Amino acid sequence: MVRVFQKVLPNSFQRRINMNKKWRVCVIGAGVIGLSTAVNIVENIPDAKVTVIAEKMTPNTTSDGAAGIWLPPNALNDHELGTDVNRIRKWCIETREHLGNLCRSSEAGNAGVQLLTGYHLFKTKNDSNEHMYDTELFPRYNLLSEDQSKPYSEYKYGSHFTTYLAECRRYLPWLMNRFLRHGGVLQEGKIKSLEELIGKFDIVITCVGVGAKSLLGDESMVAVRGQLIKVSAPWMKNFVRTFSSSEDASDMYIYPGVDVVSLGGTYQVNNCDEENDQGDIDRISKNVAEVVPALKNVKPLFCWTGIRPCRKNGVRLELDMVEYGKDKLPVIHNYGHGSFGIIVHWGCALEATDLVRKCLSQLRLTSRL
Amino acid sequence: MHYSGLLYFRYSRTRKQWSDATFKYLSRLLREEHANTAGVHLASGYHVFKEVVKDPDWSGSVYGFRTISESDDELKMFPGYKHGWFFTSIMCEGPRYLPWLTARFKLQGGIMIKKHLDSLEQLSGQYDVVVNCSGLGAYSLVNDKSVYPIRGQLLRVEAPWIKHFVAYDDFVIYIFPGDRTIALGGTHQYKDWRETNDEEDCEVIFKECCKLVPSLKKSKVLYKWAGLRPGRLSVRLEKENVKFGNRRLKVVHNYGHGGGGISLHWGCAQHAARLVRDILEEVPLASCKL
Repeated sequence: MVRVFQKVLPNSFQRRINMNKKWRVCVIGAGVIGLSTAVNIVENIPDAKVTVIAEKMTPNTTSDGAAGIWLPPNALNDHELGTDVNRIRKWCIETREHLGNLCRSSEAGNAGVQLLTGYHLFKTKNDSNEHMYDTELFPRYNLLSEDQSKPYSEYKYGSHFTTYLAECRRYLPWLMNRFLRHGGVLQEGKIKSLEELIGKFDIVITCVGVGAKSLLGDESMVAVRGQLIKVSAPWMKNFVRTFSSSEDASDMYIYPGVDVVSLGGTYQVNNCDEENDQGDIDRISKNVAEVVPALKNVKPLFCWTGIRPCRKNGVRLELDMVEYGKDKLPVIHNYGHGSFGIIVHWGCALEATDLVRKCLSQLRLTSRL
Repeated sequence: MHYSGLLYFRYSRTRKQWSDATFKYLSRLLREEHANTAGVHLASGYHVFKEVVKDPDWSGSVYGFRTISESDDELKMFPGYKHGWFFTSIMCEGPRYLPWLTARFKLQGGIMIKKHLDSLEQLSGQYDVVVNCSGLGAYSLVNDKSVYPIRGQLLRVEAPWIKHFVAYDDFVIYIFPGDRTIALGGTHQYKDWRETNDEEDCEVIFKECCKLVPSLKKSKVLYKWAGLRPGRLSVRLEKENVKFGNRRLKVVHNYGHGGGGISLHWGCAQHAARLVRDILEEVPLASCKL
């Protein structure tokens, strides 16, 4: 009956029917990448009806455990972000602008975004890791000279800088509320194959992180295990991180979030063990107590292990066309951010939204034919 | 807050010595296991101004002092402000520090007596030396009419995402993150003896702080508090031989620190202790109890 109507109606009316059509967009994944992508789509593309489907939601996603510190990279490992430095820098700057605006707005507390100052410390110049950071992008960055007085005087060298921190246990619920307020739909569930979504959605965005290996068969994913201890120490107002190139494994970090302080960490490549490791916990506690003895007797709230979704050749952020028999499904991938999820998330979300826009203009054209 | 930027004191060499000694002491305490119990923690932040100002004379005494000018991006956080200082100092919070100091004192055999004194004469014949740290109380206790209150109103709010202190212009309005609460202040009301809260003061403080840091609008106000800073043209830190009829009492005065109590306390305490030692060494052998 409808088809007959469409043949008879003049073009202008046909266009009005298309204008009322809502395109069914599915975002798989509700971590920082999934939610920020979903928010950008739902706020900027009026005819997109967005559903986020995820097996895990906050506070159980990988993002939830991360300390959340914003550290833009300079040189990168094989399996972190990739080699397109201009593109990565753009993502970093866009994310920085977003976090800075949030910080200065009345929403900073609700969103869990804070300005944070602190120290990187190293005992010899060789131990320094500062070349790994794009230090020009920090709101403030100062390299400390040897003779400059510092609170941690046993460290001869270091840097003192100001950056942002987004605590996902507040940030993800805040993003979720923003998403829902704009008509987004949240669905808990595990997608075992993209084929399940054929006929139900017009576009799919995979923000699946470590899940890319099983869902998409992406063998270039590299699991990098991180161990953290979460404590309550609201008097810690600065971050501290030590670097050591020697075998003594004395590195540690202390990142004060909004509600908890994260102590860490580990960077164990090809380790996907999600259980807490007492050896790691003991080493982190010992290293932290060396630098901030006041944290020695603070009881941990909980320990947390996360697997960073690292990927050889970096982030996969691109449009793909997946075919199942005669059915075609446009898929936009946005995964493999490794240690840098929070650092680049908003820039990647903007780029993914652009890809959705381009994809939808194609779909709108073909749907009129 | 260990902040040596006092406005109603003339900058003097002695004051800088007391301030530096206090900072050195607090920076050692910061690295000890009981730093948290003692209420001591590192604090970074900003002091911003509507006009360009000279660097303060204590710039070398704190950590990482830097000037921020209009060309710096950071000043964008403070619209309307043309100049600023960024530095890291040490916060020392009374509600935890005082009990910790008291415990330390008692551990060394010190005795605490809670008592009101009308005059030092009540102590003559009982003590060899009296150290007078009565603050504003010196007005009546030792009849020092040059002491006057400087009333300060503040609010305590819950806003754990605020990690930096901010002070504005002449330091009347400020945002100081403490352990679990943020102090929003304040006022500088000379010769105002009111220790009760003033609702109008509170409204102005909250409004001004929210203008400067909008996210404070969503903070929870926990309680309000007013205190009287013990103002005086300069700190009185000196020996005095007080006469009561034919009796004498040796006194070391240590009061009148205004808003700089915490910033100066340890240096002043060391100085006062030296004066006490001087006095005790003066005591003739005959009058010593053996």
